[in-house]
Amino acid sequence: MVSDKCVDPQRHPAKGSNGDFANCFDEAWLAPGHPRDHWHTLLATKGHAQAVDYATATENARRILRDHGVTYNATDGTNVVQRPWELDAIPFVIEASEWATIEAGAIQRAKLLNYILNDIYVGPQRLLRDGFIPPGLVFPNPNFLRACRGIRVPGDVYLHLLAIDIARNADGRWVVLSDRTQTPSGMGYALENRTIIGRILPHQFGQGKVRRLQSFFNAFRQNLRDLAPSPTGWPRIVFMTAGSNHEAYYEHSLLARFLGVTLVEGSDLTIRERKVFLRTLEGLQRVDVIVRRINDTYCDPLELAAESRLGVPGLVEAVRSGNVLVANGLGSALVESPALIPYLPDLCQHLFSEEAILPSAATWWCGNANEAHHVRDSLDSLIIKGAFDETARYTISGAEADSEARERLAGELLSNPYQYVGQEQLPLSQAPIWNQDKLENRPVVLRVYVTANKDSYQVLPGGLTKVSPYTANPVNGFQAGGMSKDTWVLGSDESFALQSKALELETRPAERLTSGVPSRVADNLYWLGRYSERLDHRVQLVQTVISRFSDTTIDTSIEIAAICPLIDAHYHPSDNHANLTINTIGQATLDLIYASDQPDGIVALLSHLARIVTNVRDLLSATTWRIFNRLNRYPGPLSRVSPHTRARTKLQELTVDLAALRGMTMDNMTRGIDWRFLDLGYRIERAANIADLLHSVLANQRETTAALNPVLEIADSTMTYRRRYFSEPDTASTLELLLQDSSNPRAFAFQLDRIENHLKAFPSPLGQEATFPEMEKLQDLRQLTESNEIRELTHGALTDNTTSTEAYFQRASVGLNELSKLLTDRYIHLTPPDQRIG
Amino acid sequence: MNYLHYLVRHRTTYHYGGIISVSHHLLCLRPLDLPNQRCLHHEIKITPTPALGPTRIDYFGNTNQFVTIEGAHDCLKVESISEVAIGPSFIPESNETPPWQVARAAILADQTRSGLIAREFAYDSPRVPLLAQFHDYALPSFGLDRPLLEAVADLTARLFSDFTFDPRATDVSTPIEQVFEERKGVCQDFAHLQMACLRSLGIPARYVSGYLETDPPTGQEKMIGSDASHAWLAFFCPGIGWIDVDPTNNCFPGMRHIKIACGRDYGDVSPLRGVIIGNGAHTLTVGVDVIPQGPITLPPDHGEADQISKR
Repeated sequence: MVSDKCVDPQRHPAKGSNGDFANCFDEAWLAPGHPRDHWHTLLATKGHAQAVDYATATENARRILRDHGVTYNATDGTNVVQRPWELDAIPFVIEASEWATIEAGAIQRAKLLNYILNDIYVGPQRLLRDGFIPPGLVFPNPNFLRACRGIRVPGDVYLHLLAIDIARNADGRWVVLSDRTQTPSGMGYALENRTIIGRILPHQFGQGKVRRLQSFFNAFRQNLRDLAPSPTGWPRIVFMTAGSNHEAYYEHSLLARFLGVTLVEGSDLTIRERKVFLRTLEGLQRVDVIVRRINDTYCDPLELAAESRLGVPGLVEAVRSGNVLVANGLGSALVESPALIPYLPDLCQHLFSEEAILPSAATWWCGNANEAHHVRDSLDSLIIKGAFDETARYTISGAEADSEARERLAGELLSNPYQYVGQEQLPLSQAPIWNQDKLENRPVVLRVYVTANKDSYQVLPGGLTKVSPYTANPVNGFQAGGMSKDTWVLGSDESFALQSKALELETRPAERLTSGVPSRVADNLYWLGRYSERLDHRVQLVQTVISRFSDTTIDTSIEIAAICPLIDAHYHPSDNHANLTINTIGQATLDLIYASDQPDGIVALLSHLARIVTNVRDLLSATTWRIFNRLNRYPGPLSRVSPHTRARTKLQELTVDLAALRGMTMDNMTRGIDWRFLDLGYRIERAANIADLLHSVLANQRETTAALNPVLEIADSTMTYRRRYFSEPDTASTLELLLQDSSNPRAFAFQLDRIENHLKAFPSPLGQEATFPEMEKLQDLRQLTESNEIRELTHGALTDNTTSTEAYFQRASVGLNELSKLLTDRYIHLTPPDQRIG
Repeated sequence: MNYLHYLVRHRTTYHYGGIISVSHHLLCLRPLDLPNQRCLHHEIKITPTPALGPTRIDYFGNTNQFVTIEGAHDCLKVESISEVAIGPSFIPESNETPPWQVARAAILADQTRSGLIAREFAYDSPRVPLLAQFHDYALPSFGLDRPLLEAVADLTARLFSDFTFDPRATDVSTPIEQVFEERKGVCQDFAHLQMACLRSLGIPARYVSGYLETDPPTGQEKMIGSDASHAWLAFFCPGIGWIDVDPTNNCFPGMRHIKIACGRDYGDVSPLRGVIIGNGAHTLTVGVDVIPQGPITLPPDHGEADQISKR
């Protein structure tokens, strides 16, 4: 589930029911069999069954989630683990009049929190001096950023986006549990939920007059444009993520794609003369707006938390100089403090002369002696949270804590009381979910989203409904994993009219989207090319060997013996002594397919590939993802019965999927410099693989001829050879076909041609002419494909002259390595990690 | 008014293990202007030649200088040269300060601007956690109705005798829990520790970084570079203001302590913060010379107030 700190749900098995259901508000049912009016479309019955086929819908939802690869990263305490996102097939429904209250309350709260931020950071701190906010709530608060005091933010807007968790109390009133003000997460998942539910329940969605989400995102983006430091022209907006290990990285890539902005990490950005630039292959490009999903204190290691490597050194000074808009404003986390909650009603009254429309869950800040006393006395009925950051310390239900935890808590409450709040536990309302084959009620919490617009704020007509994994009443807000629901806000006709107007606005001419590719992304694409080619080559290799084991029609033992060195080259035995023979090669090959401890094996290569693909996820189409997700299922368990035959089937499927993956990435990518890096990766890797393959064979003099057929098969050139030479392979022709023939897309020479094309198309670095060292290195490699060199190599192979063979392949391997290094060094400029000194 | 005139040279050198392509720094090196301290001259020399950013007055009233060095470099030298005049500081008599509980109650009740500012320094901060052991250690010095100044002086004397000055025992990141445990450390550790003691009793305390003029051993020439950056603290006394105290030397600082900056702890006033982009470890050498220039007479400077309260 989305929260600011995820706990692996696997470690928190569902607890038995001990909740008091009689107290809870029932969202959907007036009485058994009688749904409330606005739930009727979803819960109507036909005979004894549900009218809507939720079993099928659930299955469809799972399939789509898997195909889209919708995940969140959880931590099991030490490691980051990817978990599939869970979506219940039954949406959560809110009727129009009720939503109007939530909407008004959320807007009021956004205004209030934004006002407080302006007063504390920019204004005269009147709220502190007049005693509306105690100093003990601000000064020891780690989220009060002293470096940001005095920085006036554009339009006085700190909260470009705000998330508020609300729940329905037993009396039917909605109550605020907490606010997310610095990096409000989950909106992308809400969007994804809607996409999926729209597909699996199209009929009900159409009937239900459900309000649409698009206009909210338009408003969010438009507001950023309006407030950008360079309002003329199109400001460049980037979306800054903490990287692919962040729990909501999937969401970040999705939102960046949806908003049409570049996804960056802190190290992609750099500050020059108090302005922010994106490092791209074309050079530094100015950035006007940063939508950041990095916590306040991590945004600038120079002025904020020194230990963080996520941010951009000098960012605070760039913001201070008015050269960049950061959304949400730096310092926003201050009003996320649970300790602020008890002061909000008075502040609302004092500042706006209004009652708070949405009340908050009763909260006691232990910085005050009386409240601390009350909390210590009522531990059983309260939830204890960190006062300044609810996830940093305990979020613990006093009643659930064991005696040791309670003792520790009581001690903490005495020695550092102002670090804690106690909050009442609400009997959360219950909504129906589809569990296996029937409806069941579960507690729900709704996360609503507010964005600033031109004049005020507006609320996403929907949101992320979070379903407790427990049947019992859980602690407020769910940090453990769980399920989510699409949120249907039913709309009146006026709001429909407004929305279609907003949609019209959306269809105006295409905007200039950002074109520069961050250097980090180019690096990832290059290695994506290299690793997918490496994997493809490895699959061909083991497949060629395996096929000879399962072929019963002819005697393959000579060939198998001949290709032992090919497997040997990639096999890493545990005892360091391979010397594979016909007796051991079978097991070694299976190890290369199934064993995860083989660094050159299929499993390891797949996981490398997975890491790289995750890093460029925002650049890949949904279809590419679907194919990639299929790859994740390989190689599957090792079969005990006829393992080679089973492996062969698996490998054939893998080959097809790899071809599809390459087809999709190559086909769907515009031929920009990023595509060239991807293809360079493929080409350099393929050239290196061909050279390694021939090297292994020629080094093993006696068996050269027997190995030629397998070699052609691995190089996928068997048919070409037959068409061209109409004979059994011989060494000279094989070398010619695989090294020299520039019309064979598998040949060494062909790869060099493609590399040269790319090099010529690159922007000439530093204004130099085309004689840069990469080109020289390429010309050296080209000599290897000239006829006299090939003749000499052939001659050496036939006369057992290992010296000339070794020299030839040494030149190929060193040349390719140097070319690769030159390319990545010159164009990619990988930033070494920042260091802090002093 | 009679002042003592000092020339201070403060050299910091980083040698990097590799080539650095870009580095960003934030310097906090300019001595403060205070009622009893004037910064007559200040300059910073940096090699390689940097792009100098703006100077700004930070949240606590200290002067910060942004520095960026672009282009490959493998070392950084920063020399800060200051001329400072130090006047006599006002140290009240013990009985002029209120009993410490009275002082604490007054601080809590004070809603004025200066009261709020004092409160800023009454809580824990990143390097000064308020733990029960610090409170318990401090308590014997804070007997019922004991005047605040006397109580603080007693705590200072106890720290001075209970703890050993040992530069090898700690580094810049050693937590004060460890210092407390091992009873060894340097000026920064003792300042943090005493601040933790005072704050845990509700007395605001702030960190002061600066220089100290040291005497050469009798009969010897003063050695160049023998002085060092120094740190001490100041506590807040209602009705009087901030009073400096130096636990490393068991004294109330007089005319040999030169102040550069104040903050909640070392993290706020680190003299040279930086983020370097490049590889390799680094070695750091620091040399400070505080060279007395004799007495100097300055015209009275009206309207000067504590920088902190000018914020």
